Amino acid sequence: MNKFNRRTVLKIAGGVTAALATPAVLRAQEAYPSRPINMVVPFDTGGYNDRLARAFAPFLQETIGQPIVIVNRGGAGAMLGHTYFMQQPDDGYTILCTSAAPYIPLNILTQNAQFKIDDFSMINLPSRDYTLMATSADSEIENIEQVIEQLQADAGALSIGIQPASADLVNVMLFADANGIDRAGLRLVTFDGGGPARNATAGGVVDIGMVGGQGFIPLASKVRPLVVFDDAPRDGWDAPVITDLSGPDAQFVSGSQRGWAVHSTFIEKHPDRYATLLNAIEQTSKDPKVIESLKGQKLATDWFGPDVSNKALVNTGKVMEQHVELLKGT
Amino acid sequence: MDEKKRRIVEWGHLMLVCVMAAIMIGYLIDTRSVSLKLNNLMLVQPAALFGLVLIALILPQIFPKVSADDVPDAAERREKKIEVARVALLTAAFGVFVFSLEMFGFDVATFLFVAIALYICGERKYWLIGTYSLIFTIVVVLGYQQLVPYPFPMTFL
Amino acid sequence: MADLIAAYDLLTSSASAWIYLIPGLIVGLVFGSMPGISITMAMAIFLPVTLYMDFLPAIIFLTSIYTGAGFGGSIPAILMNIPGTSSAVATTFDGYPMARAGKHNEALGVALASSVTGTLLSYILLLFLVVPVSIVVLKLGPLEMFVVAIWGMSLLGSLSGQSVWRGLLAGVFGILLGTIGMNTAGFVRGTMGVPWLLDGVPTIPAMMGLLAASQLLNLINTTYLIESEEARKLSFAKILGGVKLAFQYPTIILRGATIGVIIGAIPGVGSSISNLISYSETKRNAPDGDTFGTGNPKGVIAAEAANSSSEGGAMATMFALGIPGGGATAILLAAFAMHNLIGGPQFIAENKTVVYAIIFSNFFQAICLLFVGLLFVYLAAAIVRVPLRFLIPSVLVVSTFGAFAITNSLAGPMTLFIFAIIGWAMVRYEYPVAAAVVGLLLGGLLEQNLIRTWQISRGEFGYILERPGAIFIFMLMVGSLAITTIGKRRRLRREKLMEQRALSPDTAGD
Repeated sequence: MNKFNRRTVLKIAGGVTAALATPAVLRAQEAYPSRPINMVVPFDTGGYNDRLARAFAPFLQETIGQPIVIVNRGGAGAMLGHTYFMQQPDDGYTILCTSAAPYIPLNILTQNAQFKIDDFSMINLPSRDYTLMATSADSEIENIEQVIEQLQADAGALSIGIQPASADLVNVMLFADANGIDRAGLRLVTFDGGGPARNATAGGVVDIGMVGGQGFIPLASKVRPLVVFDDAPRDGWDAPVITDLSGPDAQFVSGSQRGWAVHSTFIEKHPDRYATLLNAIEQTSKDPKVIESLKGQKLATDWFGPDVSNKALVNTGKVMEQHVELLKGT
Repeated sequence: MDEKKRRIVEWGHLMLVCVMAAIMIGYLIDTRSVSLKLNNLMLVQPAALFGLVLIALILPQIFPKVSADDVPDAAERREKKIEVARVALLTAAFGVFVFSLEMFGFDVATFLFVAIALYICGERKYWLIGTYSLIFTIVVVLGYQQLVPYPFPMTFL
Repeated sequence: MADLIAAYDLLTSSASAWIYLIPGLIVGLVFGSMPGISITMAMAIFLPVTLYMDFLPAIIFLTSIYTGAGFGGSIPAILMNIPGTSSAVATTFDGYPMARAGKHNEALGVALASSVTGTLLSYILLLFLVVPVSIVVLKLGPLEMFVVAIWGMSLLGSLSGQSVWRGLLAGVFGILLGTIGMNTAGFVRGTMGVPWLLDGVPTIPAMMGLLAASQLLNLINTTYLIESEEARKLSFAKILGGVKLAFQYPTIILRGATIGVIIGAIPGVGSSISNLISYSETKRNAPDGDTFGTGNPKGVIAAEAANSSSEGGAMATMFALGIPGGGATAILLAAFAMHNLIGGPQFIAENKTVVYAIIFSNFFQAICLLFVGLLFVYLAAAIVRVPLRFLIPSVLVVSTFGAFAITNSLAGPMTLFIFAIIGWAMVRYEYPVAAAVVGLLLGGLLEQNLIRTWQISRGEFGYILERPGAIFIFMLMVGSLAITTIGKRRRLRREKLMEQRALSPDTAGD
């Protein structure tokens, strides 16, 4: 209860400070941040981004000296939240915590979003998911070679659990192409979320599943990993990575990349504020106390920084653009 | 027992059925325009067609034959009309409220709506309307702000 | 046995942990009874607070919120016809008519007692069922889910009221609206370019509009929710009478709890469908089934026993597999993680003590809920004494705030408004609104699983033979339908015979 009241008090205090500082000239010179910062989460409460934002915010507000207010704007595959964020002033008082990939490219490619990838600037995307192909632990399929063999003989031999309009779907198709499997013949079974697709995989409802790998970790003992769609082993899965399987230039897309972003225009308009925010997030991400707390909740804090994060997002966007027809319904 | 029977038209009923039919036809056309794959049409198409068949079956009920005795007289009809008019007035006020929430802010819109709706619902003591609307607005707005983990658009509160 | 003793030790290790139980229940009741505030939201708000607590108090606090909020949703369902969550839909069917008839005290008492007993029973079942349930849950495929959804749909038949055609039309209309948006295969239909419709029509605001707001608009021509002044009283004795009444129907509670635990264990579906199936089964089996929907307390018992026991079912999935069945259990898992208990199929094996401790603390919570709930319900019932001219605008506003809270945009309030008009027109021309609500709730589920079944089976009919589970559920449903139909026919024949005997002149002299 205490925490709750404190938040309210801080909020009111922040509001009063903001009200007192109305003259525009004064505001331009004041130190940033001088009032609470809104952190937009374009998903409902309880999902990965929401948990990440809520776990990180208490530490970030200590570093930055102002309360952080989490604003959930869920719906339509983050489209509503991203649009809402873009409509907010680019003054550094509204920041974003999102699954930048695949949702920003998806909004643009399949939902006619009014924004471009360049309109967002990533500060850090600590959580970088990957597609994992897996089968139930008591399945007859032992390894990826068996899968390829069966699918080459008959593309519809195995049912594949997957989310429509996802990076995983692109990966299935690239995988089929690389191994001479007929795309059109694949027996895709579509699920509305990663969770149901994973459960179906673990329970043997579908023969194989292609879903974000991090979500599989709690179910590790119920599934057998077949391929990791990344260029290096991840999370200790005992399975080949795609670059070993199909060669170093194997085509694949990375999965969800989640973390913090701001308006691109914010950097040009307020370089000093941007530096403050960037610094605060970096410092908080690297704080051992934060790392321990977030690790306990299975949340990522690795620091990659703006350059790496932006580049990763843009690359994902490019690959997805090449496969845009796949993302519009199966 | 009067054997004289008359067909009447339940206009409101007709309108309701037409709206449902329009929604179902529109939805079916839109769905078919997206894709003709089975993955898209499997449930929507048969359900929409079944719905239209049902409407056809219901259609006769919209023009029921009633004996002349059952047709309400003028006074009764006027009373019914007044009742519907009051509902319509309240509904309109509610609609304006809903669509003005973001423009006026939840606080102002709520205050105005509660005050106007109280009047429509028959409260005539102006001081009571004013005080109740004010207190209720403050309680609801502050209450929900505490309970919901994100801000509501407000003008004053 | 050693685990049980260890669990007892854990629970008694710190008496101070238990001071969070009552506040947790109250927080849950308050949040749960406010339209539009979900259990998930309540728990998400309080999750950070528990970061600074020890493990036991943190879990007691959060599970108390869960338990309290589970019942809280029934209060607006009974008093205002507002299903604040989808699991309270069936509660409105008989709860609200009871309240209108001046039996608000009894209705609340019945609901509370059934909820408490449902929760207790579900945790007792849980003690034995955790492991089998967990095996079954993962094996459930789309065909099984489709059959379950059809079972829920069977309720449509009994909701029809006067005209079968109108009932079916309402149901089909609801189903169609329930499939708007992006379907499971990624096709976007019926959104008219409105982005928020991609996720479909927001269900809870739509239900609030159909069931509650439409009623409120119509009540403008009435002065009080309950016509007779006599009946408008608040009576503790009558609430207790309701509690007693619930205990007279142990079969209904037991059936509800069993349905609740089993269906509640299915991730993502859970309580929103279990209360419908329990209601429809009870209605068909009751000799006075025809009076369901007009204020029969058995309807409330069936609905409440099932939705509260679904909590136990969701917990079973969480314990056994470490996967969340819904938002609330996702938050509980996050709370476990904060205290270094990691979810997953090994969870129950590694943390038996904790699991038993949680089950026992839930027994205790359920019992406390009975007392805290009695007080809370007594206060809440005061709403029937408010003149409608104040109540109508106030509840419309609260519903609007709730609708906004659910969607965090005007999408919620707009949906509420549009469906209020549709609902009003449907009621006026005797279309069963409840059928449309059931369709809306289950439409998406039906379509998803139909499509998935087709995808997996490649349209081959033989697939059904590979799914004995689906056949079993299907037989269960058909069997239950057949038994009740035969029973009903027999009863009707008997009644007719009696009537004839009473009327016929040759037996009159007996």
